[in-house]
Amino acid sequence: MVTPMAPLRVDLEAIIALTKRDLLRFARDRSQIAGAVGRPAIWMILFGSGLHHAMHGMIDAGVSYRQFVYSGAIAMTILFGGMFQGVTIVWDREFGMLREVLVAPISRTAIALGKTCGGATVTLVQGLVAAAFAPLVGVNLGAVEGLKLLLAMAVLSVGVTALGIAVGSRMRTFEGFGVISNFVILPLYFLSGGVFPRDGLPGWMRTLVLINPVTYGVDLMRAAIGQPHPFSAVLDAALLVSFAGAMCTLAFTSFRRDSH
Amino acid sequence: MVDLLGFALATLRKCRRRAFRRALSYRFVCLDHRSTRNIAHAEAAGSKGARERRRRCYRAAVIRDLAIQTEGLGRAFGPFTALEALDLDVARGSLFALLGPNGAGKSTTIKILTTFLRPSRGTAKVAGFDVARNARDVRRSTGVVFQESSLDDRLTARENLLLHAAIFGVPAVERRSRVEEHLSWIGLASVADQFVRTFSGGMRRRLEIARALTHEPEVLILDEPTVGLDPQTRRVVWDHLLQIASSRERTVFVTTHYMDEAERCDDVAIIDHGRLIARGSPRAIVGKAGTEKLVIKSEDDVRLALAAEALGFVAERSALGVEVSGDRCETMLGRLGDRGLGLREVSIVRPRLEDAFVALTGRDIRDEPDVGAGNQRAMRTQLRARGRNV
Repeated sequence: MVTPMAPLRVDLEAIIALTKRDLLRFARDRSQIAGAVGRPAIWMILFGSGLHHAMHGMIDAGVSYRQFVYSGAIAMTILFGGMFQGVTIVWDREFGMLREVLVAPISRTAIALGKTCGGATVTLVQGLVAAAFAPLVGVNLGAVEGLKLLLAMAVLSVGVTALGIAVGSRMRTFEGFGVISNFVILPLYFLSGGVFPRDGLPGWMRTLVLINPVTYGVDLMRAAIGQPHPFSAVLDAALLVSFAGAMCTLAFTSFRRDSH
Repeated sequence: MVDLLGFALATLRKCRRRAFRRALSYRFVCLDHRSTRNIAHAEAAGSKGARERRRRCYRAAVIRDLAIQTEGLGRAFGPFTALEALDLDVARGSLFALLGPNGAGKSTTIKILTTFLRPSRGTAKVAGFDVARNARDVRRSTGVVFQESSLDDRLTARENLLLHAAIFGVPAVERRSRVEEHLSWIGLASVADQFVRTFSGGMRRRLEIARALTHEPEVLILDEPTVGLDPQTRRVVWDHLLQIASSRERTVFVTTHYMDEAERCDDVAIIDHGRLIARGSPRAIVGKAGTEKLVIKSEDDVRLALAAEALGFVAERSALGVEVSGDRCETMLGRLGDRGLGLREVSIVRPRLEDAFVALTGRDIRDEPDVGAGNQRAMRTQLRARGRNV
């Protein structure tokens, strides 16, 4: 028998180990890495350049559309990455790895926390890849801007990954991910003010934008890199942190409920 | 009349259970110093109270020496009862097989013992810890090999074991050496850095066994560990299990459908319809279920059969010859051999565990694949609709 460690200590070590596992898996998954590079490239460069002229005059003066869509594309990368990471719970259940983790002497909260930490870290890495496109789209990042941007991205990553876990805990098959991406990721993305400005939208869509938590993530990223942003950065940060907290609570309860 | 019969049966059952407990205490108990002293003390006193205390001491010692113990264990999924009232005792350090047809309650039992399911009735203790109240301690003292592979196939063999060691509370400084030790013991050290994705079914199974032992659990629980493996790998897996059990330090609890595997165990329990129907060493169970018989070919089978019946044996003609039963084979053969019946070919057929299993559980094929799981899912949705946690 192993000399028993204090339960809390074991939980902590388990969270670290599960985070490491997700990072290892990501580092080895070429398709995920390709996605992390490809998706922002398509949105920032192809989409950004394509709509550059069409969107002229629609957005604040002094910001090109490519610069405008920069925060949006990072948000989208985080949305796709985070939801996917969360939903890998279904994968783990399908291939049995979840059973091995569930039979370990650690609390259910530690498992959910480990999954959130791991998933959010991988998501943040993907977000950073997207953020690295800054020079290509004409966004200048200093150390302070970069740090602020990183913080905003980190909180958004945690929130989205936790949402993914909450959804994944209720999903039975991985095929459902297509549905998730159509009905969760894309609306959250398009209604975040990241692709088109809120001002020109019809009233009902503007309301949806206002209740979409990703809106405040995009707004906070805009604030971080010194672009015009409709909401106050403090409000953004407060709402984003509450969103992440609420999603974590939801994820932990869904996971605990489902994993007996 | 019926009442009387019922009463007689109940008494008989009670006696048998008591006899079994007594046998158990003599067979397995290694009394520690304290209880030995207590018993000696109690015996010296000789009073009724002391006798009672002695009984309790024995009982305590027995419990201490049980790796797994269930009492009246039951689990129902709504109207469906997967497990009725299971009393099971698994001696510490033994190699134990749980047998039963599909849907008998094996999977439910395993799920309860590994703390996946809570019992709806009765108690279960693993390594001395209650599965409902001390689930964490149970998990810490148990290594589990699931029926389906539960490895992360995008990680290497070593990484899988390191992950296991970390989440099972092996101190960080010991992890590397512990993992190496188990990898080389199971014979997978040379492929430790290969991805599990590239492993064969047998390699995966062995890796899972090594993994389950990495945190040095007291009890190893395996759910049909050889399903789908080729005969060579089955043999290797069983060699490992026998090796683990041979030290007598670790209890191995296994479910299986292969009777030849069960025959290699110290103790066997057969359950059906959620109830225990036989329990004991494979030899004892075989003895209860059937008798040995002679199969004889002779010049004149009719004459042989008549002669056997005249001697008071049971004779049945079959395609193989005449099957004679009713006494020990040597006796029957000796007495028939004296008769000048022109015996040509004689073989002794001893019942095997498989015969006993079929005799005890019947010949019906259970078509419902994994009744427990299916109902469990249906029940889960039902219960969820009622807003209860499952």
